Amino acid sequence: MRIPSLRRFYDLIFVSICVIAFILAMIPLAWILIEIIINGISAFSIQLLTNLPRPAGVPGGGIANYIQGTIILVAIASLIGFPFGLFIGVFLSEFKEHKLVPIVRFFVDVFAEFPSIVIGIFVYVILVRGEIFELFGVQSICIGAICLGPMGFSALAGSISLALLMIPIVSKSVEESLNLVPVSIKEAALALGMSRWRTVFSISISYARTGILLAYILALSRIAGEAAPLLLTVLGSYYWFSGLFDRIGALPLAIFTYGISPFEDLRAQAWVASLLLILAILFLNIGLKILIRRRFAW
Amino acid sequence: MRLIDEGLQKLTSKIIRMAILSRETVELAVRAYLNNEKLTEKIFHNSETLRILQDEVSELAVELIARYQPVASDLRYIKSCMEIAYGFSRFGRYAYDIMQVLEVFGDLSKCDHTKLIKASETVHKMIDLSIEAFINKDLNKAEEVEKMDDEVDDIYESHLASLIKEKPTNLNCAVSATLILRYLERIADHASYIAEAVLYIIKGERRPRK
Amino acid sequence: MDAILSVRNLNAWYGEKQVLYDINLDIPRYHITAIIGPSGCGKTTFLRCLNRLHELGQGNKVKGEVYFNGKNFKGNIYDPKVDATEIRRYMGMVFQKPNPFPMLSVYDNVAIGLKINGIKDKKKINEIVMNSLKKAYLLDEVKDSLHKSGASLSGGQQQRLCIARAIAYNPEVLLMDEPTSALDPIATSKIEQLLVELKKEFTIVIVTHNMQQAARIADYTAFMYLGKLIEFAPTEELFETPKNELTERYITGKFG
Repeated sequence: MRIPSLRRFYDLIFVSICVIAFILAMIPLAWILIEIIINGISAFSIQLLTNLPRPAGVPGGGIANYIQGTIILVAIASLIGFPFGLFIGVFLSEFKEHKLVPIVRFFVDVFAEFPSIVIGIFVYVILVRGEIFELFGVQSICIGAICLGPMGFSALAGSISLALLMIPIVSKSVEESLNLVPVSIKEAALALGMSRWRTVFSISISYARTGILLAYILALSRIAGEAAPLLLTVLGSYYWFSGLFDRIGALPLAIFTYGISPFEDLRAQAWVASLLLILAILFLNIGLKILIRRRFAW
Repeated sequence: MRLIDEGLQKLTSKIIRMAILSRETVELAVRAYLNNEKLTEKIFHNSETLRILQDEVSELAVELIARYQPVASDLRYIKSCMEIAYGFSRFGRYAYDIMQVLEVFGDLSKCDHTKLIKASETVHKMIDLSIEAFINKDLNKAEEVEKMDDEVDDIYESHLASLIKEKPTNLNCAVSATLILRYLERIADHASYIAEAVLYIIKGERRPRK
Repeated sequence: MDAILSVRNLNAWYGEKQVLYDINLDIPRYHITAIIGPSGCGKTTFLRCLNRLHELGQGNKVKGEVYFNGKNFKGNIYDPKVDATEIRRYMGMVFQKPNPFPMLSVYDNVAIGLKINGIKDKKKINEIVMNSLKKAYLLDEVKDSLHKSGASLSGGQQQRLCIARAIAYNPEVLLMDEPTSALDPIATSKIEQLLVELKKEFTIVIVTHNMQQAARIADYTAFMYLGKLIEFAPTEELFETPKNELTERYITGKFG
């Protein structure tokens, strides 16, 4: 007799707990967002987007080179990371019967959980300090006129560390997208006389193209905000991009160094940098995703 | 039990009803002729019933085919039932024809009935055997029926031969005997067709027509 | 019999489990051969052995010979020197659930088979695509939506699109795995009429669990049970007077 209303009461309690948990969790996130927006907008000026940094206290400083730096680092990283991630994802999804698959998958899973700073240390030791070259007993490795040697803090080292971060992310997403390709589609292609390779690249990837592009976007937005590996591979710079083997600035680094600086004006610039980074990530995750879905989805 | 089995049982029971009725009707006709009994109405009534039953068998067979798309032995069985039903309805018709002879020629109890009795006994046996062959799916009985068909043919042909050789003394007897032997011969033919149908049901084979 | 495919002692396994036992069969050219039998009897596996699709499954094995007497290939398709991909170009396959490529347009669905076979001339491709769609009784219905996704069509149209895709590059044999079992009766009868028309140009092997379909369209019917070929005969013979008692019991519904 009392049961229906008792059940409804428990229902209400449960739903309320869920809603409260959601609100509590969202409060700090919303708070951060609000702080960034308020502080970022109040400190914003066009100069910040066009000028190079000036020492503390000197008016007219900007964060333009950090914006450029982040864009370049992310671009180069994705040039390296995306193909590797794609091929590994294809291998894990389409060639499951191969002996190496469990090993590769193990490594990918482990790498996905690696602390980014450890990746940073690794690249620092191997490429920045050049211990890999010492290992082979050479100063540098040259192919014709192109030489690779211990590169010191450099844009390339930074890109490579970001690429290493990117690979497991892309690989996992690509593998998942390809796993969603129905067997019937693959069989239809094979029955037409398509070779296995062509089936993978013309059919499977084409079918999963939306998922794969979204994987790419996801990875980009992840690495755009990484500071730890950049600290150890790039160190930072107050100047425009000057070459792959030179140091370079980046937004996350600027946020770190300016954010804890004792100077009020620099801290304000850190807020603006944070706002820009958040906006970029929002744009990637929301705006670009919508565009991709509309253009590539079938 | 398959869905079609109920329909097939209905079909079989109709055929058996026709078998019993047609056998009885032929018997009545021969008796009427030999003993000059007036059985016209009964025979006419039976013949009509057989016609109606034949239509029912036909309709039921078509219904089963449309609804259940039977194949193999089921299909052969249904097809044969249609043919057999026709055969039994023919028995009724010929029995009626024999009665008509009696009507036309009057009292024939004084005629020499030896050939007729022999023929009608063989025919009765053939009818019994063919019905048994159908019910029990007995190929041996079916073969016997076909052999006995030759006997009846012989009696008819020898009767015709004797008519040509010696002019008959009593025209009534001669003509009526000819007609009735002819009808008995047709009944025998249909009995052998029924036996052939049994072979088709069981083996799917057809005897070439002689 | 002018046999385009001669199967000799074909055995096949799904991993450890054997599913085909010593199949010996000749498929007549330019006729429709139906393969019937209860679920799990191996008829689909048999079909997939004809275009070497079965061996692609993990752990699957095939033993035996399948001799293909085609225009561009004569010999055993299971000869180790033979490239399976090449064989599949001589056969077209249509599956139970229509599977047009949804990320390609209707036009491209048909064209893709041509591109694989090296036809590059745009005019020729266009001609063949239109022709295939016409042969598949689909052109009238899609001529204004050729650019739309292959998946935007109805079930019956999708299946006809798959047929158009399969016949575009002129295979000699069409392998059909229960092509109408996912379709409504009207779509089914359209495709059945299409198949009867197509047998003038192609040899058709159709697996069906619908005996009446086999009875309607097949010239020859093979009955399989538990991985073995039980009986193979012209359709009227098999359905009127089957020689094997198992066949008789299956088709009259006494089991399976």
